[in-house]
Amino acid sequence: MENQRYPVTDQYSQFVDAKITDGTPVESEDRLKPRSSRTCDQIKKKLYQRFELADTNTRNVSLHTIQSEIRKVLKKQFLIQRPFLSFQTLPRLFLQLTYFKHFNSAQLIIHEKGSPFAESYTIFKHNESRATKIEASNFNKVFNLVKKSKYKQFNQTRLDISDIDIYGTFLAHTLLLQHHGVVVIISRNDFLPPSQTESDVFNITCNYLIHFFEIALISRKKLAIEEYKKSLLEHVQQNLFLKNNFSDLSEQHLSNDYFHLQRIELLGELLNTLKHELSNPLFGLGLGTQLLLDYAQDEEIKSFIQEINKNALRCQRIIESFSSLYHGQSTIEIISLHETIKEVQRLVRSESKQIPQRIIFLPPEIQDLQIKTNKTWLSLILFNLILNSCQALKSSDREDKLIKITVSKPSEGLVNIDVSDNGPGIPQNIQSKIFDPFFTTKIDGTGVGLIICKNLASKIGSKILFSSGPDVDTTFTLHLPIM
Amino acid sequence: MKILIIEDELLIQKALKKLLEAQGVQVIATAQGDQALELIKDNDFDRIICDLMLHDITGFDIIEECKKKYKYTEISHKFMLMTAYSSETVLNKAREYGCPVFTKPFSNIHETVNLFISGANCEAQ
Repeated sequence: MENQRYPVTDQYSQFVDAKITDGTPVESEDRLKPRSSRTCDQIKKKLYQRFELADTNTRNVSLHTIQSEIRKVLKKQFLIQRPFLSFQTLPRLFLQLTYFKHFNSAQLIIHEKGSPFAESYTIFKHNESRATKIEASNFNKVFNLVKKSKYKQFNQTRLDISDIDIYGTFLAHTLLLQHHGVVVIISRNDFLPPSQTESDVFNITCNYLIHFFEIALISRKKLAIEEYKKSLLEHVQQNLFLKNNFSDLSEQHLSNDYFHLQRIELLGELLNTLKHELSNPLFGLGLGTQLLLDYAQDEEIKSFIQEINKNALRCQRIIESFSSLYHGQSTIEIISLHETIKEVQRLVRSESKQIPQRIIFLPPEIQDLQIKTNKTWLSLILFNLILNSCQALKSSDREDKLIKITVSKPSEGLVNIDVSDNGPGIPQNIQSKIFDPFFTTKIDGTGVGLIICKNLASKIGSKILFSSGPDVDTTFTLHLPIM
Repeated sequence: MKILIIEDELLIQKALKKLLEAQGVQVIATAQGDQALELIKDNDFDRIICDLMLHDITGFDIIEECKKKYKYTEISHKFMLMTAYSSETVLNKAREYGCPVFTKPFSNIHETVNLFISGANCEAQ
């Protein structure tokens, strides 16, 4: 028995005398075994003892030690380097634990319940990797076989499946997750049977990793859903009214968010119906007040009736504004900038109750400026910017809160619309993130307002830039080219 | 002048009736489609102001029934349709009958009421 034929024996000795809970050496059990196996054990022992381990600390392998080592490898290899785990490299985790240092390959097979295929990722010691698909029926065969064998070795020829990477001695384990079944197989390229220690450590490792697998699978699903949502956001402009909380990462919440997004897309139709439903009562109000005005003699009564009428008209105008916001899709028209801004202000009126707003034209002559653009999209952008300023100022206790909307014309073909507020400002460390989808600092924020603005701005050929800092106004500028 | 109002929203019905009567017009109002058809049969109205969406029937159904009594030109002069639904399909259908359609709520009530009396010959809002 030479070294070359059993290349791993020097490492193997680590496990020879090690037991999981205590350090009872193999030696004491010798006397209890029958003669023939004792001989076998003696030979084994001699062989292993030839390569006595240097570090005696690893002789006694406790549960705690195993777990902390797993955590160390996880942290170092997987969690620091990338935010989302790639299942392709996950099997390497096993090969990097000291207990399995001499194992040559690790295979991870993941099957989502109900899927016709399972994904399989194998990592070989010298960094070769293999990713393949295994049919669900074959996966189930492997799963059941491994389970039935109670995680001891079984005759792998029974498997007869080409994609199972078993080379020589192997250890296998199954895990049942919430929506997935997982099979883990690690193989050693020799025929020494795995020691009890190795087998135990492997089982402990697999069980310990259940929770980790669940999280990894959920993050993967979350990533897929976010990609989907992002692509939706790019095509659907009317999501200004999204109200959702994406901070909870639980899968149930994610599904709810996704379906909520679908419901939001129906919002436009709802808005339509709402408009029609409200038309009749509003009409009634208008007619009734008109009649009363015609017949009222008393001046005081008349003035009250007029107020009622004005409120009914205000309701009408709000519904009209929202409807036109939703419906006016790609029409480019010539609009009065001043009127448009005033309309948007009307829509944010209740949010901005205590906050004065000032519209400034620089120079004052451009007040009557007419521009050719998409009124709906411009209104949506301004609506969102003004709303953001209102919400920022709500949390401030300044005496002199002010939102300024400044229209200026830096050059012949360009109009700048600045929406600025003297609120607390945007902290330096998140300034680069505010246009990221789903990034929000508000408790009930959706994180989609600014990315929608950005999309819409590019649709009308414009840009949104901002500046913010402590002790200065926060200003969002829409650079709008005009004909 | 005799005007029939067919509208199931009571406030609108009563207020319109009052506003028209203030202009010296005789007004009969009903909320039921079958009652309206009875009234049309038994009376000769100068104008029929009809809401499109009623509880039991639509304004268009009423017009269809009236085709038995009135010719096309008469219908397009007599009928004035009101609706909260301002979709293209509705407007197109009304055009088929040649009737003006008024979208609720009216922007200028007095003007519209005068239009009812004088007779609008185009689509008004």
